Amino acid sequence: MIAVLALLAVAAPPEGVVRVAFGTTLARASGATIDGGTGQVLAANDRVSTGDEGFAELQLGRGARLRLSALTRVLVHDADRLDLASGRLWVQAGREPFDVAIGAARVRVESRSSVAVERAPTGVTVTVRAGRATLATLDGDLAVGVGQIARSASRGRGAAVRPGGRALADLVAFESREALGDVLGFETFLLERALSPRPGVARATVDTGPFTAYADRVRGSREGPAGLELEDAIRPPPFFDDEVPPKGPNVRVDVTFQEE
Amino acid sequence: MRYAWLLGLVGWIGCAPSPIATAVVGLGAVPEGVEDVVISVLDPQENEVVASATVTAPLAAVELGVPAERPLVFRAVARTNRPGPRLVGGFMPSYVARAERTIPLGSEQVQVDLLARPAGVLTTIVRSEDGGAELFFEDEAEARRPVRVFLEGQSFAERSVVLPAGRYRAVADEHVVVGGEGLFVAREQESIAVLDVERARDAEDVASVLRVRLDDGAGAPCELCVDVVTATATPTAVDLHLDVLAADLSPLQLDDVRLQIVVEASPPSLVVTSPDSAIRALPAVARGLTVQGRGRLRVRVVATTDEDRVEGALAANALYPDDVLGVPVRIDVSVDDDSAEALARGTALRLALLDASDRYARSVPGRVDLTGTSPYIFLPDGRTFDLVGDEAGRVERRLARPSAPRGVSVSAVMTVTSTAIAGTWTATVTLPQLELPSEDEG
Repeated sequence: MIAVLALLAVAAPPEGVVRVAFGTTLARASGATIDGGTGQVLAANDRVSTGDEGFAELQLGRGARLRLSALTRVLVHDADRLDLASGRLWVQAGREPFDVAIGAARVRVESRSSVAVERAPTGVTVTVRAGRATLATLDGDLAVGVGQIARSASRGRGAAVRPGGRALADLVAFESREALGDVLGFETFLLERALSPRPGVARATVDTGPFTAYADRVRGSREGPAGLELEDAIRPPPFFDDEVPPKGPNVRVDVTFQEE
Repeated sequence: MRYAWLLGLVGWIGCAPSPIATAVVGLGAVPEGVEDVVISVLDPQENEVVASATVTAPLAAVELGVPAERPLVFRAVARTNRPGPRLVGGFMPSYVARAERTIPLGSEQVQVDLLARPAGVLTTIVRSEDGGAELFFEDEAEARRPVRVFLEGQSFAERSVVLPAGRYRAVADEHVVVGGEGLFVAREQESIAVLDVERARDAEDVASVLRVRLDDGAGAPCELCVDVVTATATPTAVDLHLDVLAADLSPLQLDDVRLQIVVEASPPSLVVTSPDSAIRALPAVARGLTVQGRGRLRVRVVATTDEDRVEGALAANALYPDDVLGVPVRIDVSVDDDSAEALARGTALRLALLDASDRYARSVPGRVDLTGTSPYIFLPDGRTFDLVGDEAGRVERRLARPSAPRGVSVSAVMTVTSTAIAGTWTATVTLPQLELPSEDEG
């Protein structure tokens, strides 16, 4: 079964990777499902669902990162787009814009922007933490800036923009802090798994082939000198962390000893 | 390096109303010889330790709860396994780091970088007129944030402070710290000092200079390098003109003075009669000193009042009219006053360049090197200097020994080189050990 899953995983071209997942289910386009999914390569039409205490962070091939709150379901279209079926997302676009489709509506997160999107039965809510976004509905496009909140009624109609949105912005940051106590530790985990694949089960869950292909794709989408290290390729853009300071200790004291 | 890590958390989180912040203290590469690192957080306003922990390898970090929104002093002391002063825990410190920060509450994380410098211990006894004093130890080499030590009600109590190795000045607001200039703290050693904290006075009221001039009747009183010309058959009377200058060099009147005049002569028979020291006010002329024959003499005068102590000196040759001074053939080095009080307050290191007739030699160019002197000896005028040619065999440099290693003597080593002599001369003056007084001695 594991071998089959591994083969299925490499069958489709990779679009991204699940950076971290708690209480999450990854449903492959082929119909296979995987509980958890940390370190899994994402392919087109994969679905990620978080449970009632779940949390997931995805990184897609063009540098976009998405954090899924509890009870959220998404469908990965490709490296530039996914569908938000329900729940709450925090999206940070990389060098390229990223689209979140929500039924008939669509949220475009402009490059280097950070946006929280929530889909509820009553409609869609969008707030911008950094950069800017556009909420496209059947009634037209609404530009949303920092410190603004946009809401649309169900079925993508009746959207409006007004000041506010701080509560939603704080909520996604709080959820992320709660879930990602050790971001650095997770990165280390990912890197170790990617660079030192173990035989057997581990190889089935993280296959270096698609992961390397994913890294190559990320590398190809970036500007700058060729031959970026794999570590650079999977490292997220830096401003996400700056945007949300770690809750952690209030003060960090580093003692260094003067050399002789 | 020991690899059994022991974490002793002696944390204290006060019941003060301050909100509590969390602090993570991480250690960089720990040098060889360090057994453990004591992390402490002090509240300088309350003068108390609010949290502390001892970190032993292989642990490299510790988390502490500290009050937020108030100034804190973060301190790290690395200790060896060698015995050290009891007051710092019984082990000798080897490094110390210190920084002050106020930790705000909120999501922003404050980064505090502590650079641990090689350190030693300074143990002091502070004698204060007011029964207490707030002392600061300022690093004289670099403009660093001073270390504050509050000594209220602890007069005559020994107090040990871990300080980076180096030279310090002890200061106190509106007070003068006698013995606080040039304190030296040696690395991984205990240094001791006695500090007297006195109320500061206006500079124009403080007697700073006692000027001694000779008058043998042949001319006007002369202050420097006077060669007294003596009569061949009868003693020559030499008057000592004494006057006092304030710190701003303005003339000062001193009353109720206790005067001490010491005349040293070579040969001793040069001095026929000693000067009269029964003088109760300055300025004054001390009479009664008579000299006869050839030689050299040195006059040292100490004037003391209830508030002031000032001293001055003068060295001179006694010559016949046709005498010619020779080049130096030897040196003589001495310290004016090697009592503990004088060494703390500051005295003079005197170099005499003597000719073949044991008189102060004629001036020669040369260089004086004191770099071999113990670092505990404070030479504010520097450790090397040139003989510029007008010394007439007499050189004086300020000297103090405000601190010293416990139970060990320290020495001043002077080396003189000159194109007028072959080779070099070296002389050593060993100072008596410094001892901390007990309360009974106070």
